[in-house]
Amino acid sequence: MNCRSWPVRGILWLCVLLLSSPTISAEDAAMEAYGGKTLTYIVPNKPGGGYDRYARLVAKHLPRHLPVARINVRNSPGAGGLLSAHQLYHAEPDGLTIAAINAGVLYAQILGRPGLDFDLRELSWIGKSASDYRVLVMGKDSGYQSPADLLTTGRPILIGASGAGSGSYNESRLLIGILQFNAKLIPGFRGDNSQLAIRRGDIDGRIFSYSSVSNFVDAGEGQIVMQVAGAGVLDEAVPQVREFVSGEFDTVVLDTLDAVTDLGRLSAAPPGVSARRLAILRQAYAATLSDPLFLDDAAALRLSISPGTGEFVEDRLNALFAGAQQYKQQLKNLAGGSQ
Amino acid sequence: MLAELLSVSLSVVGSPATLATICLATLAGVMFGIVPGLGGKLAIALFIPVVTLLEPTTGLIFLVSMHAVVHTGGSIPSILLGIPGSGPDAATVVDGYPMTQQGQAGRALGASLLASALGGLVGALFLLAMLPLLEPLLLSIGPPEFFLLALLGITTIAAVSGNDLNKGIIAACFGLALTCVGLSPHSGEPRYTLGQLFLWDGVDFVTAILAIFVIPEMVAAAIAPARLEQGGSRQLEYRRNDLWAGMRDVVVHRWLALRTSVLGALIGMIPGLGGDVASWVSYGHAVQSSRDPQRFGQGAVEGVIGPETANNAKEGGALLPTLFLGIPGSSGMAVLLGAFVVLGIQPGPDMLATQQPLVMQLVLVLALANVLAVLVLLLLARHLVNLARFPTLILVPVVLCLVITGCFLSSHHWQNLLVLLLLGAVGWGLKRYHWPRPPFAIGLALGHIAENSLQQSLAIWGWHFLLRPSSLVLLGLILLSVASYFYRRRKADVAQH
Repeated sequence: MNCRSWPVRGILWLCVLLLSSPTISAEDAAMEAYGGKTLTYIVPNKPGGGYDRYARLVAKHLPRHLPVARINVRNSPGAGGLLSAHQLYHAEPDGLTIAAINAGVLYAQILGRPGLDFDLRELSWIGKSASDYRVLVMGKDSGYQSPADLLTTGRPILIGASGAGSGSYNESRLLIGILQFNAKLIPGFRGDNSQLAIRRGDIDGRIFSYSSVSNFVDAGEGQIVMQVAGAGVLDEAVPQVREFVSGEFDTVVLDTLDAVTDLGRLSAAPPGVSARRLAILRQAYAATLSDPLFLDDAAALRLSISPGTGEFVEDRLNALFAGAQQYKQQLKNLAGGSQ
Repeated sequence: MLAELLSVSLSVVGSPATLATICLATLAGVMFGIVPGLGGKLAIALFIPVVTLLEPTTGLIFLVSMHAVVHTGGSIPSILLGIPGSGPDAATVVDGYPMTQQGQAGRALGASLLASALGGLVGALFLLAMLPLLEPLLLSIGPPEFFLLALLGITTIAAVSGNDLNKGIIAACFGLALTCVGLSPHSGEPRYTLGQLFLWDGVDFVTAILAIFVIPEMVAAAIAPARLEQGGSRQLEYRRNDLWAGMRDVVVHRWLALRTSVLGALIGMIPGLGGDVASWVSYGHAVQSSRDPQRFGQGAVEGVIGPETANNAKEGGALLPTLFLGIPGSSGMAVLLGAFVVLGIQPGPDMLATQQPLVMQLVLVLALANVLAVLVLLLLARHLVNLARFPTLILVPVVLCLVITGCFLSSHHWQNLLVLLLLGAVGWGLKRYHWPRPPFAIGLALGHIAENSLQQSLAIWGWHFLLRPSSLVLLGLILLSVASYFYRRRKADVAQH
C-alpha cells in the first residue's frame, strides 16, 4: 500500500477522526431518545385497579431515571387484558409506548385461547415489579383441612373461581386436572365475594393470592391447604402441591403455574424497538424499582415490590412458552374450552 | 353508641379543618357527578395520591364525603339535559327530563335535591342500624337469592311498561338479550362479539343508556326545535317557588321516599348488585306503588324521588360490607377499599370494636356531606336551570358532545361510539313508535346478575335451590308483584268502563 497516495491518506485521516471522537454516553443516548417526549403507559384495567396503581406509581418515579417530559397513563380495560396487549403490539416501535401485561394474557397464549393474534415473545420485555404465592384455601367448615381430605373425598368438592377464562379459573382447572381429585369448578366468584361464599358454604374453597387472603386465614375463617404456585416456599408447614404429583406433564403444569405467578405486573414495549432504546427502558425501569423514594411510596400504598429485569422476564417467558408449547393441546384440554 | 355519636359530632363540628375537608370533598364529588362519564370511581382513583399526604382519618373523611354525593351532582345533567351523570343516574332521566321539557325544571331539581339529602341521611342511619345484623344477613344471601332478587326486579317492568305490557316485555327482553353479548361467564366462550375484543366484556351499560334515552331526545329536539321553545321562555324561567314546590313534593310523598331510601340502602348493602339495580328497582317500585302509573315516563315527580333517594342511600348500605367485612359493596367501594388500605385502615369485623370513633365519624360525614351538597346546589339552582334555556340549536350539539365524551370516558374505547350510534337508532325507533324504554334499562341492569347467579345456583344445588326457605319467600314476593300488577290493571279497566 502506498501511504503517500491521496485515497490512502484520506482513509487514514478518517480512521483517526473516528477513533478520536468521543463515544455517546448512556445519558446522552437517553436524552436523545426521550428528551422532551411523552411516554404512554397502557394499563389493562380501569382507574383504581391493581395494575393502575402500580403503573401510576412507576409513572411518578420513572422520570427521575428517564428524561421524558411526561408519562401518560392510559387506561384500556377489556377482554381480560387482551385489548391493551393488542394496542401495545400495534403501537409504533419507537420506545415511547409501553404497557402492563397481566396473567390472563399469558394464559391466553399458553392455552391457545382465542383473542390473542400474536406471539407474546415478540414483545420487547422491560421487566416485572411483583410476584406472589398462590394458595388453595378451604373454608373452616368445609370438612377439608388437608390435601389428604381433598384426595380421598367421596362427594364433589366445590371450588370457586372468577369468570371462565380468568387466571384463577385456568389455575383451578389445571390443578384439579393434575391432582385428579373429585372437584367441581364453579366460576363467577370474584376474589372479594369468594370469601363470603366460602363462609356461607356456597363453595368449599378457592385459589387465592396469599396477600389477598391472609386476613381471611388469620381470622380463622379458612385454612391454607396447600401452596399451589410461587417462587419459593411460603411456609414450611404448608404442603406444596408438588408433593402430590409425579410425571413429566404434571411437572410442566406446575412449572407453568409457578412461572405465571412469578411474572407479576409485567411491563413491555412493542415488537421491533431498537436494542438501544430497549436497554434504556430496562435500565430506567430497574433503577425506578430500586429507587428508595419509589420503595417508600410503594410501602405507603401497600404495594409489594419484587423486581425482575427485562432479561429475566424474557428468559422466563421463553422457557415457559417453550415448555407449554410441547403440551399445548393437553394443557388446553385440561383447562377446558373447545377453542 | 349514641353517646359516642354525640361526642364525635361535637368533635367534627368543632373542627374547622374537618369541616373544610368535608366541604372541599363535597364540592369535588358534586363536580365529578355533574360531568357525564366521570363518576365516583374515577374521583377516588385520582384523589388517592392526594389523600395519602393527609392524616389517615382526614383522608378517609375526604374520600367518603366525595363519593357519597356524586349522584347528587349526577342528577343535574339527568334532569336539565337528559344526560345521566353515570349509570345509576339514568333512572332519573325518565321523568326528570320530561319535567324540564314541560317547564318544571325547578320543581324536578327541588325534588331531586331534597330526595338526595333524605336518601343520604337514611343511608347513614341504615349504616348505624344494620351493624348488628350485617353479618347474618349477608351470610344468608347467596346465588339463589341473587337470582330471585333479580327476577323480582325484572317483574317491575310490568309497572314501567305503561299501557302496553307486551311492548314492555319485548323491550325488557331486548335489554336482557344485550347482556348475552360478551364472554359467557361460565364457559368463557365469546357470544355475539362479532370477533371484536372490545365486546368481550359486553355492551357498556352507560353507552347503552345514553344511546337509548338521550340520543332519541336530541334527535327529536333537532327535528322539532320549535316545540321546546313554543311555551316561551316564561316556561323555562327559574322560579324559586318551583324549587320549594319540588321539595314539598318530597314531603307529600315522604313514605315513598322513605321506602325507596331503605330499598336503595338494602340493595347497596348486598355485594354484587350495584348502583344501577338500586335506582331502577326503586323507580319500578315508585311506579308500582303509584295510584296513577300512567303518568310515569311523562314527568311524574315520583319518578325523580324514587331513584334519587335510592342513589344516595345505597352509599350508606354499600359501606357496611366494605368497612366491616372488607368486601366491597359496589365497584366504587372496591376502589374505596383500596384507598382504605393505602391509608392504613384495615377494614374488617374488628372495626367496630377497635375503631368505633372512626365509624361514628363516617356515619356523621355521610349525613353532613349529603346535606352540604344539597345546600350548595340549592344556591346554584337558578344558574343551573339556565342550562335548560339554551336554544335547541346550541343545546343539541353540546349535549351530543357530552354524550360522546361520557361514552368514551365510561368505556375507554372509541369503538363504543359505533355501539352508541347503533343503539341510538334503536332508541329513536322505540321513542318514535311509542315503545317504553325503562323496561330495556331494567333488563340490561339485571341480566348479568340473573344469568350468573342462576348458573351458579344450578351448578351448586340443581333446581332444588328453589326450595330453600329464602327462595320460597322471594318466589312469593315475585308472584305478589305480578298479581298486584294484574289486579291494578283490572281495577283501572273496570273504573274506565
